[in-house]
Amino acid sequence: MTKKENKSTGLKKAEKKRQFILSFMFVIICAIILFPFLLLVSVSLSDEKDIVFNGYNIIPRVFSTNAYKYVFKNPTSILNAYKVTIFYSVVTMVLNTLVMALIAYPLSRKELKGRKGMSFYLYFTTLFSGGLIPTFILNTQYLHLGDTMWIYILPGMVSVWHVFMLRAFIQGIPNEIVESLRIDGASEYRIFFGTIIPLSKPVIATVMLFTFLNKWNDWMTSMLYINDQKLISLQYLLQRIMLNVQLLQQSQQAGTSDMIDATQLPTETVRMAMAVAVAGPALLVFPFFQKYFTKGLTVGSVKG
Amino acid sequence: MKKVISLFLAGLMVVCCLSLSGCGKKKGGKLVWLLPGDQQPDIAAVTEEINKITKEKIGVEVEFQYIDTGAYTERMKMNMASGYDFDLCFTGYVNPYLDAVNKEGLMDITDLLEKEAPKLKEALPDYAWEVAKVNDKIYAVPNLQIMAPQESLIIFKDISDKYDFDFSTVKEMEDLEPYLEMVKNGENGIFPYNANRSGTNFWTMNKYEDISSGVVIKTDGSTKEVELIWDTPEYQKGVKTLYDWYSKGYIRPDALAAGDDTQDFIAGRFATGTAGWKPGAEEQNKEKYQRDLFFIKMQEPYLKKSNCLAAMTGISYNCKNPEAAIKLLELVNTDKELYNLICFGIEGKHYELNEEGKVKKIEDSGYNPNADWKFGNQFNAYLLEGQEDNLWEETAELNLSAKQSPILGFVLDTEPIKTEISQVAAVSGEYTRVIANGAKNPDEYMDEYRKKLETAGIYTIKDEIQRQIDEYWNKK
Repeated sequence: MTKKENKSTGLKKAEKKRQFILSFMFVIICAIILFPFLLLVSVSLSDEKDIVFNGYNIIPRVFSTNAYKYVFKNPTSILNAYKVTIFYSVVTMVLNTLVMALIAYPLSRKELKGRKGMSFYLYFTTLFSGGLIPTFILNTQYLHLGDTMWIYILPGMVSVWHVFMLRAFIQGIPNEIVESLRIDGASEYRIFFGTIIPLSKPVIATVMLFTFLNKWNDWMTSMLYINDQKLISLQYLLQRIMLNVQLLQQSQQAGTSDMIDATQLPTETVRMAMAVAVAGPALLVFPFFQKYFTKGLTVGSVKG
Repeated sequence: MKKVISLFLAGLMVVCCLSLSGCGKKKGGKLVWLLPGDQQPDIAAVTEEINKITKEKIGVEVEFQYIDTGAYTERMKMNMASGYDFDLCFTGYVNPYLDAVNKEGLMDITDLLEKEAPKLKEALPDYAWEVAKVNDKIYAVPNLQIMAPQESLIIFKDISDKYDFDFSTVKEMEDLEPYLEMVKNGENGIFPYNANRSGTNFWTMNKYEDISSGVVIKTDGSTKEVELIWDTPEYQKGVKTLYDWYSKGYIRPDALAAGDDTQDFIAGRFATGTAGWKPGAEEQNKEKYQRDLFFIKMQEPYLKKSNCLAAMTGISYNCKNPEAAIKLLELVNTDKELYNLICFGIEGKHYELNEEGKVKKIEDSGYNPNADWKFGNQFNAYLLEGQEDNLWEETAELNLSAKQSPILGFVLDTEPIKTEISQVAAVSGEYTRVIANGAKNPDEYMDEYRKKLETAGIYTIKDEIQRQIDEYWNKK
């Protein structure tokens, strides 16, 4: 920006000042968010003994890669958990969104008879749930999903709120488009996949992201249903350490701590290194994802 | 109309689900045994050997299924409530025995023991069966091990050698103070005392036994009245001393925020620690902390119910073949060959016996559960290298000679005071760490704490426990 332009309007100056304050605020917020993560990385690269004696530091006082060596000495479990988690997260993201869109689209069409009843049927299921134990019984004993990949994918495939979200958006697409397509001789499939889906990109991107994040962060499923070490998810790998540490503390107070081999628990630095190993690649992938996500949203808002 | 239809549809779904029931039952005649812990990579080979023995002797096969220790309690709750097909399970410090019994997860084996497993009944001492009783019925077999550990101070030698202090003078906790002062003045960056583990317990344990939520009874059986731990002079003294120690810097100042401190111990941040003493505890703790140390026993050997319930094996309420299951339990608890096979794996492959007949584990062999107490009578286990020859005899002797709790057979029915107990636990949870580390002046928070306890219903709990205790004694 040249001097001339700067002078030209006082308005621009005010705008600049505002921009500066805003940016400054965001820099601070970013720093607040970034700080714990940097600490995590730093601790994972520190010497265990130093951490124990002198506490955490943002720059490692005594540099050591022992924690990572330990984590990757037997990398199969982490790599495997990655494979499992990526697989089911991506599959559910696509599959769930497709199924939900297939429910939402007909419900948005006015010519569908009994759609109010169907909507109510969907809504009705959100008012109560079967409860944890009946769900567990259904999944393990009748559907036999325990200890299989399906347990991650099938249960909770349709989220009613997401269906309603999709329906509301699709309803906003003028009905005339569908009508004119039909006059041109397009089949229902063509209308749905060729026009409705592309037009609904923003909402579909949103639903996809929600589903993906939900699945990515889910550890309960692994804890409850999975015995096979080859099928446990990434988050549970971390959660398991926390559970064991918690149990150790409880039993210390109860005086039964001899029953837990505390030396088998990962040390502080190893825990942090695992957290980095687990979070790292996901962090690298996320910006790409987010780029498409925001793009989708803005495109939608202009058109929508 | 539409609503009616949708309701009908919803109903139809439920019916469909129910009518699906009955499908999917058991694989073969195997007994499934659930345990907390990590699945051992080489379990298949060991299981094969185990089955050779069990098939020959009692005609069944067994399959061990491990569940993560941290998730075990939760998983077992689900397994028991859902009628999951298993036959035997670990119950104790995870998957607590009394909860499992109350939830009808375990089978009453009182008669089964007499009829099918007389050898097992004989193999365990009377007190073990006494503690396993809930309303005069036995639901699980205690895994014999140390039942009367003595709470003790650990003194780390690398530090204590530098100072001239006669540890034989330590009879009460306060007697330790001169040493703590020496360490405080003489060492840099090392905390003299760590109280996280037991808090005020060191002051009260010889006189009172906790029944639930801080309602205690005298251990000498001199009175049938229960008391609140907060009212006892020993507790009050403990709280004061801890605060004093904290103020003087004997306890780490960030104790409230500190988590699991095993690593701090190993790194040598503390001059003293606490642990339960039992025969062989010195070697075990030396290995755990990787430092030379010795014990000062602060508690007289005392046999109480909760210690005995820490490790047991029960039979599932839904077990289809309880006779075979109890026979398997009998075999595991009486047959040394089978038991040691489960504990250590195959000789030559997973461990070797040295010239003394003690176990030397082979590293990275793929089978090392490292927890003989999980499976059965620990006194049948081979000794590990470095363990004393008469370790198990001494332990058994300690169990027998320990002073027995006056309420050894008493089981508290928590049902009428469930809400109050969880409320009191929530209140106490706020204060446990503060008290254990003496991080605040007790004069400032004690009144507030007690008021909160009262609101949470501590007196309702006390009255109910007194009522049940009276009933227990009248029956006796």
